[in-house]
Amino acid sequence: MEVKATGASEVTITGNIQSIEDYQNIKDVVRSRINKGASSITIRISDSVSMPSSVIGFLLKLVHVDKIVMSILVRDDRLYNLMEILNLITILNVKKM
Amino acid sequence: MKDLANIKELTTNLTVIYVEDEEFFRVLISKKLQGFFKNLFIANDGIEGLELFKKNDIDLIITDNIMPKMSGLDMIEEIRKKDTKTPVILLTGYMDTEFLIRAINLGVTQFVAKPINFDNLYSAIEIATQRVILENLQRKTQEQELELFKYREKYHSLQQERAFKKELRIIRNDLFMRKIDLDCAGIKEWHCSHLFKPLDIMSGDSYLIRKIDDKKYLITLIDAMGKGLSASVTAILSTSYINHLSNKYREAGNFSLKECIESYYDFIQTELLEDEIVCVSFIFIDFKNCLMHYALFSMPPLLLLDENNEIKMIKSNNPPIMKFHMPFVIGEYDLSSVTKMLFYTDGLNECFSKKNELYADYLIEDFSKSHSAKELYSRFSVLMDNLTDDITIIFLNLLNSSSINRQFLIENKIKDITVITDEINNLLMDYLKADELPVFMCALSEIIYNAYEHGNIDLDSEKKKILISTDKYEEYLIEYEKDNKKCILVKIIINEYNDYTMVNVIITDEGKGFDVSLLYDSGKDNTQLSGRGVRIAESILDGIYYNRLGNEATINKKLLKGG
Repeated sequence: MEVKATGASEVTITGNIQSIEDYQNIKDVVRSRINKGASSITIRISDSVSMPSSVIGFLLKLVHVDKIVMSILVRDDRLYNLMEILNLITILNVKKM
Repeated sequence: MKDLANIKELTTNLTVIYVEDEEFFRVLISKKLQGFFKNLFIANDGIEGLELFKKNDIDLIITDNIMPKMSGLDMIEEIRKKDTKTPVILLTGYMDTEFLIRAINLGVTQFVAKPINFDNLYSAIEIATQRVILENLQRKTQEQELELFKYREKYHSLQQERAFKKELRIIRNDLFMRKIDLDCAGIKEWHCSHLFKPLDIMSGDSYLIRKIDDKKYLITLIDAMGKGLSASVTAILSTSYINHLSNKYREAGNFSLKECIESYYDFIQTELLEDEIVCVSFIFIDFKNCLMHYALFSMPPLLLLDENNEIKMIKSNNPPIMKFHMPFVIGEYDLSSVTKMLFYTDGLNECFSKKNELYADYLIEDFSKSHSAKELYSRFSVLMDNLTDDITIIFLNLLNSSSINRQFLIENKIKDITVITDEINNLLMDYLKADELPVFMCALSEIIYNAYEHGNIDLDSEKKKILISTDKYEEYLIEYEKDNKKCILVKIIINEYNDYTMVNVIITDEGKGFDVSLLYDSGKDNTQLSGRGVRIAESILDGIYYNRLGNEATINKKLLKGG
């Protein structure tokens, strides 16, 4: 998996999000955007078919505790369906790419 | 002389336009109409009158006809293009047939001849006002009825939602996400999965899976006669009562299926209407001694598959339960060679597709190919496109393996999890397709992390929530790992068949376990920062089953062979 900042408040993730290292890398990059002043974050997930619960927990914390305005764009239907099953579409503002 | 006080009572809230080009009449009539209306707008001609009408919410128009720039009738014609209801009183000294016809067709409701007799004017105002009041009242009544309807709909919907929540609360499943380990050499454990699909919110189907002791369970399926509220009440009464009995017997340690059924029968008889019946399956399984006792009251047959792949059908041994008591029998069956069991209500086997095919014709084959309630239902859904009844399915599948393909020991550091999951990933590459493997590994990782957190480092949901919200989660892990000596054991069992491969993975931690029943409501609150791992895994896998303590999970996934 690769994660990089592709804008002042945008992060793009390629490859599958799977391990605890992936979670830590995502957290570091997203945090770097927030520390530079971003109050909203767009996360583009171009091909992951899953999202570990640790990443979900981190994103929810950003929304509820840090009051970051979140937007997530996913390409894969399976990941989108998972977000729907977990009732996260609205709260994390998930959309299909 | 008109009673002006009465008329003013009617007109006091109205907004009126008075259109008159002759100043004398304009001043005179305006003065006479002082105090009658809430607002009285005055216009000098038809064009002004039209403008005033467009800008204000007018209840009544009083107008002269012969005026420069635009006559009264021409003004009314323009008004009628947008508004067909506002009453008009026409003041005119000129009336011929053609004029009258045009005026009536334009919806002029009252005529007052010039020179004006004020009693006639007041009468015309009174009649026109009554009409306005009546129309306003009708509109208000309609709005109120609509509000009441919306309120009732919302209230009804809320009541239904609460009733369904209550119904689910009463249904008890002591085998929810649990397995029954038979404690023998090798791996031998029963996995229980279920599907409860009511057609309406208030369902005539219900079920219970109650633990009587460690290896003994009472499984009850109820199908009350008819549909809707009446059937639902019977189903709920039955479920509640059998729950109550199960609790009593468990506490006393002296369960008897015969006494349980007798007690239920005595109870429900008094509640049934004369022509009402209840169909029930009582199934008592002693997993340790491989013995099943059953009393089936007009329910679909139990289906059992044995180790030679032969299907056994156990038909109902009793008529349905009615208001009139009848003796009943209890059957017995040896389960020692059984590997799969299916218990269900008739919404499944008696379902007809739109092409008029009966699912009973496919059920045995689908049952023999399936390994869980979820899988069976997905096969059912392919064929059946027309649900007409509630469906309840309880599926028991035996994992019986004398050998393990590989086992892995994850030691106490979180980075070891990544190392080992990579090794497992490499092993499974030969069995899972390229697009299936990452998804499966995501699910496996969730269960392993769950074992690590809840088991090895004893981190409960509340504590985890606090650590995440204060950004101290990683710090806690690093600190805890220093002294942690607990390991996680992962066993992989792969069974290959002609057209599919079954992957079972058993993950055991050394913690004191966790309360699996918490998973029942997990993930419903989407403001929770944790608690989704098992739900994510559940959505990907065919099954997740925890042992009694909650420190060992078996996950499985069926993988079809071929392209």
